[in-house]
Amino acid sequence: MFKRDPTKSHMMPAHFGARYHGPGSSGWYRDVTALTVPYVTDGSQLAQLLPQGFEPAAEPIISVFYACNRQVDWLAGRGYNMIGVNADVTYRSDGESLGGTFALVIWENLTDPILTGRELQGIPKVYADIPDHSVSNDVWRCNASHFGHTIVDIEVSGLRAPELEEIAASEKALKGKDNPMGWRYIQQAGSFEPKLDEYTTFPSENHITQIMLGEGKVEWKNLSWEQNPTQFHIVNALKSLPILDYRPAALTKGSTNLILPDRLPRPLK
Amino acid sequence: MKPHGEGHVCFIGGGTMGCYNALLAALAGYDAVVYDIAWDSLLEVPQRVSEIAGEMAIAGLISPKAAQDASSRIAIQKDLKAALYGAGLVSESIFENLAVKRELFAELERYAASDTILTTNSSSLLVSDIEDAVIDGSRFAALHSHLGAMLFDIVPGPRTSPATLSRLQDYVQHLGGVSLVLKKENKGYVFNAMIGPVLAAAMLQVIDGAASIEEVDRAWMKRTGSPMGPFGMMDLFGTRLIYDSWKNRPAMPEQPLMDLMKRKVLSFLAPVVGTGRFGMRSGRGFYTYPDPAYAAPDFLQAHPETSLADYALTSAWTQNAVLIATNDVARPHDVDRAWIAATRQAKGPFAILDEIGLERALTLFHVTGPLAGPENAGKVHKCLIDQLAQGRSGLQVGKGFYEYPDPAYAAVTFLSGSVI
Repeated sequence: MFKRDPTKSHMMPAHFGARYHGPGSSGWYRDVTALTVPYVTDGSQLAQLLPQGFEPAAEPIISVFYACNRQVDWLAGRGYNMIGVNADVTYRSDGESLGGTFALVIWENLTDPILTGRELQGIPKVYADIPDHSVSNDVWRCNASHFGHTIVDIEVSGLRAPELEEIAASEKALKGKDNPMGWRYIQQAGSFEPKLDEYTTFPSENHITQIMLGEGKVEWKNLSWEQNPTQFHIVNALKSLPILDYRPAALTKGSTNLILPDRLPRPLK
Repeated sequence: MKPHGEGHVCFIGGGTMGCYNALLAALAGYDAVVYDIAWDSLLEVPQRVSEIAGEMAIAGLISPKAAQDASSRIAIQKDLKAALYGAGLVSESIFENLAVKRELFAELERYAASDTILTTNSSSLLVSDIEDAVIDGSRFAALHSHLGAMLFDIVPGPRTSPATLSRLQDYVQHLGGVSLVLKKENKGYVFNAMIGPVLAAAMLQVIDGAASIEEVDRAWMKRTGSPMGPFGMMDLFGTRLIYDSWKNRPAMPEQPLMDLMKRKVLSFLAPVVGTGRFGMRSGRGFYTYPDPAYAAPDFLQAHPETSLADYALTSAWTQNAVLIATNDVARPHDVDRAWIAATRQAKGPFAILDEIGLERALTLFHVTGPLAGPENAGKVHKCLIDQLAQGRSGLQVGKGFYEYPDPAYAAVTFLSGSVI
């Protein structure tokens, strides 16, 4: 009979044994190119999407980001692309209070990080086709689609090097708020009640080697059930959040480490 | 003590270079007065001087006693008129802003005695950019020092008098330095005009994903025998200094590739400088200090002798050295002399070209890409072709820019050789 090793990480199908962990399988994403387009939205409308305990930050900002992840250690040097949506939030409960971002949804074009992200960290990941970004006439573009229908188009243009003051301001704004959070929710088999229902935080460490700022543009699509039967409600909800004011978009290059020994993923109190 | 009775030396700007230059003067027996417009910066001068002196003592360049004596000869002064009173020489090292420097020099001329020599230590601005801000150009020149090196570039302006040049050469000699009087002004003088492109090539290697910071530094250290590579050097110079020098480059709409390079470099340096990683002095830059990775005994082991990074850096270095010579700024041997004086390496770029062989160097330049602009590329190409036409293809045939087996650069007198 298969016996689970309680000292190791398991995912379905668990009966084949623990996930591989060995030399070269660290949490480092060695080569990450990312575009981030933040914009201010309507706080009360955003609040409708947030589960209990979360409320929009004083300035209700949505950040739509794309990342082209290459040289991913735990994928033996392979990579994948993602497009995600974060909301600036404050989490408050009897146990703790935390400022940070709430992951509304993340699309990825590879199954493996979707499964690990959902099962181990509580990140709301779903699948989409996400081709590599294009750069033409200094305009960076990317998009996600599923079942042949576009979900979102993202564009960043007018790139320039940031002023040092902008870097310092960003550092200051992030101080104490570098807390990505999510809702780990799995329904019971044969019931609509949750089997697993917890909020999580999953810190990572970004080493940015290059940053440029520019003007961003996000275009959400309206989709029907026929066009994208599993995600149309997600896309339409995001489209319904108004884009009130774009903030400077960023192009960054660098590396990311998802495993911080002193800040491992954990359930929120 | 005032060697030759020249009065004290007044240093305008209490940053790293101002303090370093004040210390060199004080070590040579001059009284030094440091002025800075910012009181906070001025109050930090004794600490900065002490740190620089400490580093020089650790490196065995000066004794602790000499450092202590020198420090006692350095005064600070918040009042510009008082700082200039009785000064024989003024050395300016404020931040690289042309408008501010021009305004400053007009003020210095107003307050300094008529025979006081006025010099700029600017790294990136030209003498001609500043010199017409003073009425009496005969006493103005660039006197440019290099942190941690005893090389001093002296660049006369169109009105600089021979007497001023002579006094500046005497001053450098008293400091125990090597002076290089440029035949004509050149952006970045001689050493910076070579090291600048090397640093740019190093950053572009990393920005474009061709190599890591460590790979770039390793390549340079292997090629030149230097104790650190370009990123270690940027930490030594201070990342803010490098950032400012790029930031203050004027836009070049007629050369979009240069503007693109500037944007790339600034976007690379901004996250470093903007997060307080100012280099060696702050304990963090591209490396962490006091024990940077490049100083580890095994840093150079088990890695290939040559690499694409090596080709890119060597090409940028030697092409710019050739350009300096072909532009008649300095002769090849003086270019090497400047390099050796500034870096304490055994060989300069022309010796390296001989080592590589000029035919192979032409191939290298072709593969790594020419310097910006077809005119510059043509000059470099012609220089090497002319050498080849004379049968001077390098070390392998016994003659190139030097004669072998006893090249001039290997002679103990090379550094003290005649300058232009």
